[in-house]
Amino acid sequence: MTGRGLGQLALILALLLVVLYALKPLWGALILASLFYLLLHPLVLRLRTRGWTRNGAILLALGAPLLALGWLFHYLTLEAANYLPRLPDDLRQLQSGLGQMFSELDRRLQLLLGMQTRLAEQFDQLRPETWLNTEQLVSSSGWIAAIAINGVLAPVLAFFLLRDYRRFRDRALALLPNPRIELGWLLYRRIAGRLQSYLRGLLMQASILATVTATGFALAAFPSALLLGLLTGVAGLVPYLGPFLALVPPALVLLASPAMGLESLIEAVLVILVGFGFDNLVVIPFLLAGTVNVHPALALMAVLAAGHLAGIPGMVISIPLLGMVGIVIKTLLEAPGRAGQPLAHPAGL
Amino acid sequence: MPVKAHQYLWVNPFRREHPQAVVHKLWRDTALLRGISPGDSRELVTHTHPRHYQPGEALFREGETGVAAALVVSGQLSVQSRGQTLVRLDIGDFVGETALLEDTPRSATVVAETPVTVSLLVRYQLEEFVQFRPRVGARIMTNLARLLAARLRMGNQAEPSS
Repeated sequence: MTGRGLGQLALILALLLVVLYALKPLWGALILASLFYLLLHPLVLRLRTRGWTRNGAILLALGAPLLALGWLFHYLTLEAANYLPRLPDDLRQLQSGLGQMFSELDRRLQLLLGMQTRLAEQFDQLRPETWLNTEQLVSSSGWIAAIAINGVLAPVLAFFLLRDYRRFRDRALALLPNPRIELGWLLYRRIAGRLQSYLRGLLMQASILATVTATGFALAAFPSALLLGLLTGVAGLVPYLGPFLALVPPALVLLASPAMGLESLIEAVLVILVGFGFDNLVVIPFLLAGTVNVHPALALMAVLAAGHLAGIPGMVISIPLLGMVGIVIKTLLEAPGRAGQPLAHPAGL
Repeated sequence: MPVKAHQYLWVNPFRREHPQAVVHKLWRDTALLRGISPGDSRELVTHTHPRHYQPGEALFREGETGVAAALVVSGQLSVQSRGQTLVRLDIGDFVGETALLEDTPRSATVVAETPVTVSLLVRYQLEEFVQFRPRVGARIMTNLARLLAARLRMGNQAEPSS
């Protein structure tokens, strides 16, 4: 690829980033709609193979997940409405639990190593009870409006994505200049194929992990077991660091609930261990193996760097992004005639 | 009355044929779409891309990975390899069909001799098209196999004499 070609590619990427930044308030809807597309597109194709019209197949495929999402929204709203009045008490309890934990840590470090860490003192200075003003949280309508707008937009966008994505893609690729048209399609196909299978596998993986751990938390009589399962599923999306992140919500629940003791902590760890064990031994080998061919050391570094730059969303997209960059570089550097295959028959081109 | 003159009596001289209809007719006449119903072939043609090339501009380059086949809609192309012109292609000719099967490096360069318009059919779009039309897909693949077999046969026959 020439310098001019690379310049054009960089310009297109920069424009895309600007457009994405401008659409920041709608990121939730865009991400949700893309997830719907990734999950439902194969189902839509299958329904169309069986003679369904395009719109009929899309509506049928969207129906069940929309009902599930509606029910989840209802469940989360009820949970939030029940929980918000208790939040200040729980925060105080959480602060005192964490304070006790740090005091204990200070005492043990002093006993074992003779170190004076004063972690409890420093934690008190942070005044975590001021971090979240629950009254403001309840009275502020901005975030509720944002959730509602994104929630309504997501299925609409998903419908249009499922119906028209390929048309938009064709038009976008048709804009490529003559010498780049085949390269553009080749890159698109390689990236889209790999990315779609990876993200689809990741979503399935998160759903299975959430189901297994939610069942575990429910059996262990944890409060808000479904929510904890969902958070574990989301944590599972983060490569390598997922199990550690997954421990945070149940640990906070335990610290905020003095009635739950060491037994509950062991149960929580067991649930997470079983969930991630099942995930690593059964789910990942079947769903994700070979979808992104990235060296583990490079992947770990990418996850940490992306986490530093863009938090958990960055960690989630770091691996597919790395795989995508790898495909682009490999395809662009692929010298003509060295694709590892013999040339086609001259007459057939 | 000669047949041609008789036909012209029934043609509206003020009606211009829609470009898409012309492309559709040309595609239907190719060996690739033999036996495909007009409805299916019209649908497939909506997924093709019209591309315009200036004289001297390359359509395909030898050694580059190909993902599309092209049908000449207007103008003239030449197929070149190692500095030699192998063949000239005119309106209705179809080139690059091997790329409809796999990501194969092109074995020759195709260059526009005159201003050229081609209709490009990308393999991935063909695959998506036949995904929920398995019968049409089977027919197209059979046609493609026959086309390649015929080319191979011609190549084999030409080799002893060369």
